[in-house]
Amino acid sequence: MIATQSLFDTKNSLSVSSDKTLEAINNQPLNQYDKSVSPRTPYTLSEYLFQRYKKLNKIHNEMLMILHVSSNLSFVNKKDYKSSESLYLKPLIELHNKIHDIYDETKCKGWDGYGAEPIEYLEEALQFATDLFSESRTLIESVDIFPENDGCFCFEWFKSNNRYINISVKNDKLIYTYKFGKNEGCGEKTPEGKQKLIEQIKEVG
Amino acid sequence: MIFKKKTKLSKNVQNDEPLARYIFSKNNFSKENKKIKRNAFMPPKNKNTISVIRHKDCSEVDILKIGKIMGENRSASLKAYCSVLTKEVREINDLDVQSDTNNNQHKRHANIIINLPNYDSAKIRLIANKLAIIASNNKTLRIL
Repeated sequence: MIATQSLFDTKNSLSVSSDKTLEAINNQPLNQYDKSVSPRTPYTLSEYLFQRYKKLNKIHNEMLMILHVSSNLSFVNKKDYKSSESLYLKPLIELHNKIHDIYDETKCKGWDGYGAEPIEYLEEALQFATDLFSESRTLIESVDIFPENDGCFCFEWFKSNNRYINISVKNDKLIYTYKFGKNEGCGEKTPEGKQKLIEQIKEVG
Repeated sequence: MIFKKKTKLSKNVQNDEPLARYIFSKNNFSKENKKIKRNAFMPPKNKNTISVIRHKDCSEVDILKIGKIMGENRSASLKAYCSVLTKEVREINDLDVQSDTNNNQHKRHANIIINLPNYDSAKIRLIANKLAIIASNNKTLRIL
């Protein structure tokens, strides 16, 4: 995937060359792209943006570019997003922050007092949040996230005791439980099956 | 002098007995809306038992005392506890409650047993959902 767009706000425009892959862009030293940065800076481009992302209190235009917040940032074309409002990504950013906070709190075995496994699948949870956001911003505005004792993040949409759906995210599957009135069930889907689950999330209301 | 009659627990857990589930992580409940999250009732990975304490005729002080001791044994700090009735647990398919005082367990210790033919993490999650909803509905969450 190749990206060409300005990365920073108007005060510090920066264009990324289109002849590199995203992976190469992410791991290049920052001053290859921004000559104003000291050659001695320890950051690669991805680390720099990630640190800025974490410190941001408000959304800058550059954040429209960033979907996958992990140790390696990815970029997509700005034209894919209809809105240039600065608050557009705020729900996603907040959700990603919450996922990171939970991860930091549950990295050790036994974090729940009953021998829970350390939380893993961080990247999968971040990606799932991003996928939900891509589908519809409202999907993540009403979600609750919590850790589970087998290492998963659980995404929950809870309308009432008789209307809810939970999706636990693992690397190779999504484990779901739901109740819609008298109709309840559970099972597993591969990541490719998440679209059906997204339709069920919308049913929660 | 008035002596408080101590409840003698029967070997079989009776349907009218309340069961306390101790919570050692703030991620397992919501302080804002007093909701218990299903992970509070998830058995350990690849196991089918959920540890509880029979607290019939126990004061809140006693319940907390037992919880703190259990926390110390687990090197964990007690954050909250909630309660479900044995009858409500047994009304859920595939569940039973049995006393378990083996291996130096507290005399009031019991297990919610999940009787599934095979370990099924999806079904276990559904069961944990139901237990968490029961506990939340009973408004028994006590946050420390």
